[in-house]
Amino acid sequence: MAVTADVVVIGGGLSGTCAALAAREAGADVVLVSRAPGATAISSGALDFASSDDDASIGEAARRLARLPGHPYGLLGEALVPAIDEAIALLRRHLGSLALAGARFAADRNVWLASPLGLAKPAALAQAPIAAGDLRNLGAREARIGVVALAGTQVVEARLVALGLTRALAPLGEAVVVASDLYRQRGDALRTLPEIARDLDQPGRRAALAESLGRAAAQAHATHLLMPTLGMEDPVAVRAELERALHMPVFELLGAPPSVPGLRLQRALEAAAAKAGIRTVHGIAERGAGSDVQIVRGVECNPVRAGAVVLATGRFLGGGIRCEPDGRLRETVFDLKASAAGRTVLAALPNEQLFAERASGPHPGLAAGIHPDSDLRAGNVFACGAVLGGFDPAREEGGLGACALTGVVAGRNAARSAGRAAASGPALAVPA
Amino acid sequence: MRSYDLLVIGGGVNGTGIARDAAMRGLRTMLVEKKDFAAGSSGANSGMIHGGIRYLMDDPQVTRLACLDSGYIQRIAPHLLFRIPFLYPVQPDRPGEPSLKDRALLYGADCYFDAYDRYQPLKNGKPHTRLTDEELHDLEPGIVEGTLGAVTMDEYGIDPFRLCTLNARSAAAHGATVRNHTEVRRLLRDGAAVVGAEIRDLRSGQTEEVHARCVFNAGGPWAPKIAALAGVEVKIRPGKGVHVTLDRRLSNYGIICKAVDGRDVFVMPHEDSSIIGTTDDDFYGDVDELHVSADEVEYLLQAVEHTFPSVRKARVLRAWAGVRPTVFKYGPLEDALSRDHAILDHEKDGAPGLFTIIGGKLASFRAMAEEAVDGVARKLGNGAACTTHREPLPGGEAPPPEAEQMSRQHAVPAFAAARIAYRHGAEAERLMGLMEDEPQLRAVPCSCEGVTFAELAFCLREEFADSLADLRRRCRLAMGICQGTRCAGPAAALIAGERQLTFDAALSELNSLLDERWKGNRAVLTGDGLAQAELAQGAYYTTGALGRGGGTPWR
Repeated sequence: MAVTADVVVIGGGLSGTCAALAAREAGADVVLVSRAPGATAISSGALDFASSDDDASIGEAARRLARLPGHPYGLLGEALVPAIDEAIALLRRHLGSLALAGARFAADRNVWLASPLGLAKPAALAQAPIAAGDLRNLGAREARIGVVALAGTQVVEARLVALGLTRALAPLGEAVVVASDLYRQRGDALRTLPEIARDLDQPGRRAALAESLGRAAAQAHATHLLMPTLGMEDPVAVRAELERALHMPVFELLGAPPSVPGLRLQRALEAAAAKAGIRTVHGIAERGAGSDVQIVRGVECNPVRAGAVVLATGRFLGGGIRCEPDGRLRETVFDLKASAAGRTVLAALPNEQLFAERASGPHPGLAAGIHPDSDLRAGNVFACGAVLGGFDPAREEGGLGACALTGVVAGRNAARSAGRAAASGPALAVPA
Repeated sequence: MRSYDLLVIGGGVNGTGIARDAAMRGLRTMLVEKKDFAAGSSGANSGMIHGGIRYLMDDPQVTRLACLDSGYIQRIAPHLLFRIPFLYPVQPDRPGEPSLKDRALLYGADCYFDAYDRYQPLKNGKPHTRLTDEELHDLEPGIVEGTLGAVTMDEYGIDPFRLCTLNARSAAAHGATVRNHTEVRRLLRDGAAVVGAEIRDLRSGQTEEVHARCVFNAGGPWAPKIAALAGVEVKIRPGKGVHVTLDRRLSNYGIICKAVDGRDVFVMPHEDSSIIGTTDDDFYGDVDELHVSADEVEYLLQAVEHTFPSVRKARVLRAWAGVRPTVFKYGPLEDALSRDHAILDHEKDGAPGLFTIIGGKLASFRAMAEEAVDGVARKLGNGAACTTHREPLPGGEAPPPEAEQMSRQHAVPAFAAARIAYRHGAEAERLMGLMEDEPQLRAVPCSCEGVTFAELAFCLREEFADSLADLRRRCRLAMGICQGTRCAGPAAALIAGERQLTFDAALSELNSLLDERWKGNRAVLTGDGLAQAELAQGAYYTTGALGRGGGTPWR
């Protein structure tokens, strides 16, 4: 059975969902094709557009990124900063269940969040229990942050976080490890953070946790608690419950993959899409025999009739870009031209121009992707998120934010294009 | 000033083997290594205790020595060795249409392996078997169709890093002073005689002079540089060898394949991965600056693909290179060079007291060390007998505890217990003890290789490990399929706690491990390797903010 919509978005991560929501808000009938959770689900969940060493506003930092050759922000020109405002507003509007906090406008500055390595990670928006741990605020007064150690490797990692935060919060603040005795069985050392999170979802566990933390926090003379997780389902409620019981502020730490906040973000996106009336089809989008799009799911194969197509398939992790064994870069759905640092082939490695000698980079080879025009149009599709080349979240700290931002722009443009297409008669999205 | 009978320079398999032997004979011994045990050639080989069948024709004494010593190594470190049966398929140019030449080759191989069988009992190897094409495919269905059949051969794999570490630990247990991360800055002279060295601890920067009646240069490819400190020329013919590691055990057997130029290349299961090796090219560069090129990787993959096409479906995790310190000879092709060793007494070069060992191979390291120490002992008037072939290395004293039982008794995942049993043998119980004393050490930061915090702590406390890079060598930390994505952060946290590191020092440890892993990844970044790289970069630089190095821009 054919799938018909004004806009078909391929990719159900942050970028694709933002595109779908923006198109929906523009009045389009939208179908979202999702293969499986991708990079969004294992991300930190913190929405970062851009940052700078001088703590400039988000908009200003983004304008600086836009000057880098080939950066997708550069495509947006003067529309960049308004688009950030728009993306922040859209995220706040649709992801209410996540209780996002932080910036309201591009003119605002980033919050600085404790990373799982004890470093400061800038972000525009984060889930409220995470954003509340803004190091800028914590460092402004005397504070003794208790980095809570619950179970698993995290017990050892808490020490590193405490070391790092002690430095970040000096001279007024410091951090110490607060070791909870909630998990005392031998096998508890094997628990992962997502497992602990699910355990804390059980209401009965929270009273025990609060009791254990009360003792440990008092012993460590902590004034605030930084939790490795506040559960999978409702961190806001868990936080409120702990704060009531402990009479001190409680925050949540950012997660390294597989990250609980990332999983929450993915689920909130799915819920937002459903609530907005976006139809989600689970399957694999590919180019059909007649070069239109089709969705493959098991033995079913459904052709797609769309006014416009948005490509939000991610990069290497998401599967939108692939590098063949011979080094050829390939966009995986429409075979659009993909490149990195101006090359379509990542050959003759090691290559200093593509991958620096040190892990810290820069690695233009990892910023591989397609390069659309200023409407984010490539061929007959609109593209957004990590499938776009030229940006490198690892260096720019503009990962999820860039995905949301380009998603909003691509979705809006796709809706407009589909509207025009509808006005001029029924159309089939045929990629060039 | 400290005073020793013997100062051994170099912590590879030769240096650690010599130090162990000397210490066991009662010589006051010191071992210095500028990086870490097996950080050079000894850790960059195929990880095999093989009998040297390649050398049977030209160097039968190398084969015999290797087989004999292989048997001894099994006796002293039974836990570290794993049997790898090899298949040598004869593959006609046109599948299923063997030529007379192919038949002659198979017959020749059969006879050749027949000769090798005479040495197999020395290392508990099984005699070879001739297989039909059908039997071959029963064993390894992934081999291309239409072979003429195959010949089998029995060899052993080993973790070369652990072998060197255990030698060093054994030396220390017998009274030797063991220092890694310590370099020799100059050799001390008394007239012409070499009487010690000025050494510098590269961690603390402290320099000291060490007196020794004899100095043994076991620097491997660095040996010429060390000899030059005494004005002595040692000539080697360095040969670069590249290996690649796959993300899976591609085959259950080692398979010998033909490279495009007719050289033998093998793919073999090694622990949780497969290793493809090796190239052999004259090397003229700086031994400290080894790089692998995409050509070298492709050469190896092409060779295996010729016999085992699905190698292209596997992900190449990394490529690594080492330099063979081969004895110098002008003329032969690299492959034809003798793998025999040479022990040089530099008295004839005007530097009495200085010895150098070059060449040789992993499988016969113990015998070479014995020969080397014999020469020194003679000079020093020590008449004690060598016992390195009888006394077990640490962990080799008894069979390891059964992994499943350890898993049940100590609440350790069975996979981790099995890896601990392999790496630590009878000492596995000591690691279990650590977990019982400090429950948080039971956690598994590296799920690819089954590494527990307890194992990291043990290596830091007992095995001269002092950095994450050392831990990688001790227990395969970050050597698995995710190449450090998961474990690097937790491991940095552990070492920070164990060593009371500052935050900057902990980050520096983390950075050097990530850099070291990246070095092996960046020549093989295609396919899913790029997805893994994207994930690792996301974890450490996007989420971890490691690139910021702890700045506080909001101030």
